[in-house]
Amino acid sequence: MEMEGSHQMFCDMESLLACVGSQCIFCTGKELANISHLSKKHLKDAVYFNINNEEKFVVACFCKDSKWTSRSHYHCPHCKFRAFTRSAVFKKHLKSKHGDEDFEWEPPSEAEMKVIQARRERQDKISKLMGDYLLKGYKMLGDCCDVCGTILLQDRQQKKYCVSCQELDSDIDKDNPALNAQAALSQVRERQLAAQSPAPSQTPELNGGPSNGQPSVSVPQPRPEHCEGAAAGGRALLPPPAVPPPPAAPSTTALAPTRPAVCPQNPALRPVLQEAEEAVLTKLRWATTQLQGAASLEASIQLCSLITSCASSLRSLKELSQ
Amino acid sequence: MCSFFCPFMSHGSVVGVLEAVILRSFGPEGGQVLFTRDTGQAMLSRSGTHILRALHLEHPLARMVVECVWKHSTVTGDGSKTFILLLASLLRKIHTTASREPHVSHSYNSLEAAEAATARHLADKLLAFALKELDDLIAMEVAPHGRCVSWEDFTAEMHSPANHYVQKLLASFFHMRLGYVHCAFISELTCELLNHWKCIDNLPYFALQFLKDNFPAIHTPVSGFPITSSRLIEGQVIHRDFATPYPQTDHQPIKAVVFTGYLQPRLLNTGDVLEVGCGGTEERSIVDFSAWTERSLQCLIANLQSLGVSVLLSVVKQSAAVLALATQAEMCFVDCVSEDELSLFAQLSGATPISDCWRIEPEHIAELTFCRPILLGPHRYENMPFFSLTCKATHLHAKNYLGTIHTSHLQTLVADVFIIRVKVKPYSLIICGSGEGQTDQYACAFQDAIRMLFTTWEPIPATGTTAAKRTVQSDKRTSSYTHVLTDSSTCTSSNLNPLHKCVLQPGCIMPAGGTFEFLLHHALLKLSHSCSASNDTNIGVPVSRLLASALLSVPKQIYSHSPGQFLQTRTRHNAIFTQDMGLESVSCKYELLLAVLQCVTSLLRVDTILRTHTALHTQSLADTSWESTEDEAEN
Repeated sequence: MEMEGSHQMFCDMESLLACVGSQCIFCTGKELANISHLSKKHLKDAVYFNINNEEKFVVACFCKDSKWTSRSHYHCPHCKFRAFTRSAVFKKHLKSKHGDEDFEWEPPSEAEMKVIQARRERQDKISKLMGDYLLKGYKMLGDCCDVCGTILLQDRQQKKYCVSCQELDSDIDKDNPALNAQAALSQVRERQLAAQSPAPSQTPELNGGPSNGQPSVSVPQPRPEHCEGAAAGGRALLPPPAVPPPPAAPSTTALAPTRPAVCPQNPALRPVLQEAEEAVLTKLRWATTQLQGAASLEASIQLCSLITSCASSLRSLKELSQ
Repeated sequence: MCSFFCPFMSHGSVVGVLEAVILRSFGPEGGQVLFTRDTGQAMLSRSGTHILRALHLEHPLARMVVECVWKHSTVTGDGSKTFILLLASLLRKIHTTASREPHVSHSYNSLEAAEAATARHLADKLLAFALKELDDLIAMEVAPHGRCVSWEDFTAEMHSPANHYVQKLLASFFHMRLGYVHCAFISELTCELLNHWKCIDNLPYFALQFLKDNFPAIHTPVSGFPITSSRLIEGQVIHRDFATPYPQTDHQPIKAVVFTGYLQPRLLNTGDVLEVGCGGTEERSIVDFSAWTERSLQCLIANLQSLGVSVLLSVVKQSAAVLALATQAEMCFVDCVSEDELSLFAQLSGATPISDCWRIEPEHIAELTFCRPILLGPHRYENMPFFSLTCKATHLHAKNYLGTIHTSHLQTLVADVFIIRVKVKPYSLIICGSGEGQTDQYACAFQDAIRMLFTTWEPIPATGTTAAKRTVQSDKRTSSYTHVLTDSSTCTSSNLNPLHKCVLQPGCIMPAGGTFEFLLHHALLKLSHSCSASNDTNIGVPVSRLLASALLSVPKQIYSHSPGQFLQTRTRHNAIFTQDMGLESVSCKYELLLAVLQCVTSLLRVDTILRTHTALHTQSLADTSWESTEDEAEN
């Protein structure tokens, strides 16, 4: 709701500087409206507020439109030029009547507190991980990651590494079904691992790679304690033939694409890989058909993440077989 | 890449990462970091400076912080991990405060810019507060809980109370730095060293300053022996072997001179032009010239012999002719001596080095009690104490002191031992360690201990006020550190009363383990309550409260293994401290706080990071991680 003249709302410095002219529209007397005058006399006392996530400000004026001609006053943009002389009163009015967020600090609500807390914990986790990597001999670069803004690390092989993108989960809330699904999958995997005794003999080989934690690989591996059962199972891509199709489909996170196993090519591996590929393709096909018929938003999201993880698993398998 | 520089993102996370690095080594329960090089060398260290400087850091903010820590550590010798902890906690508190109440009286393009400006303002206010009022606050509220140990009381008697406190202070320092196994032995050794060097001058801390400045020349690292083989040895050790065979002389005292230049003029350097046979009727050749130089050299040696000089020390490597002549004249010659050792020699003996070898005056001649080779580990060195008849009053006290050398252990190390009559004060420290890295670490720990002692006893310059200052009441000086606190009530108003300002006494020490932080925390809270009415309403939160809450992060970390202990110590901070965590120096803590606040201010002044193709200037530090300054250009 923009108004004309001295009652208008400004969104940035340029719009205010558009008022530069021979006669200041905010003053009653004759005043040259140059930048210095506008900044010193009017901008200094501007009141900022937030409308629809946009920051705007109004500037005090000395116009004749209100009864306060000799005192500087503010016009509320929503209340048809209602004038306020005190900025504190004006801010209170804005908050109470129009619910605008201005810069008056209110204690965050409980949900916001949770988010802030989660963000802080994540930051702490990132710092701790980065500290560990620095002690392992990684170099801290002066660049930031394009995706998340975390500081990048570089290993001995000059490969850049972002801790938050490649190791931590992305900034998802705990209520996101993806994480719950992962927990569900880990239970499933563990049951299958326990059921199939020959299958675990493959796991040390395939797990030995990702769990090594050696930074000498081309893509640095995380520390062993980072491998949850599900993640390890998903990464190692065991070939349990029948993956039960729960609606809580797994979304192995972005970890999966960066986990090629390190062990050398073993001829005994090839049939295993082929079986795994087939299983994943079957699951992919199933997920696609399910997606076409999916009615709820949540289910669609889960199925899409399942497809993503299947695709990345396939990619890893293809890399393994090369 | 973000289009603007987000200060808290970068500051907070950079310092947070460094905090995570040192956190595991912090405190009495902290662990050690094992460093390995590609060459296979390994070293264990708990020193914060070592750890931070060993990291590969290319981020400019991180490097800036590490440099601040290093500079601080070269001054006070201690507190590098605490530095990072305080820095991180201060930045966090400032960030929280700034995001809560950013400045709205100025115009900013965005909320982040407003926050950044508020943060900068807060940091400046903090620093101003610290520079103006903190020392008085510490002197009045915190120092009375400790104890002032005067350096004069630290005497040769090993059982005096002052000795006890100094040894305890050193023991807790070495405990934190090197571990508890050898800290008692090493602190005793340091006390012994201090005792011997104490009478170097009448000024109390001059001895410490002398030791601090000359420590590289006073100590000798020897690797391959256990640390318990470290000891003091009389006299100064010159880290070079004799260039000529050492003749056994019986007459005392031995006279020595120091040469800074070449005795024989060097004939054929590149670029030299030698004009031979100019101006004379006879034909001269280069052979004649070199014969002439050798004759003049013989004259010089004869001159020295007539003066009774038998030891020659030289900065540069002399020619073979000089060495041959010296051997013939039965003089010992040591060349390529390092500059610091020669300057120490000159200071101790009172003899100035000779630059023009044709003019040898009596003030150039030093007199020694003995001069002998000493075998330390795989190297042979020279050992020469001093007894100068012409000593200048400012350098040596001519005290007669009889003693004997402990030969039992030295016999395994020394090639030739002479029984001598000891008359001198200067002692050298032999530091032994199992490997080179360990020995180096012990040597650094010794040096840092001396720096820490120097900072403790250095008188703090009074902050500029026109009002008269009064020193701390004498009854406070006698309060024992285990005494139950009585609330400091003699200085009633804790701020801004010029007649009651107190001066922080040198030599103030107090129990370690977070005591200083707790006491200062309470003092700052008291100050903020009393000041809340008159405070600057723009910011709203008194900076003293901010500093108070940031200070608690240190004891929280110390007691992180036992949170119950933290709460107990916090609430009952004026009770007797049952857990003996050693002693620490108040001056060092004060310097640390100032340094951290200055670092915070400079960090928050950074607006943008510019990338350049090439290094703008070369770094003076030798650390390899600093050499790679080539960054990519940002488009």
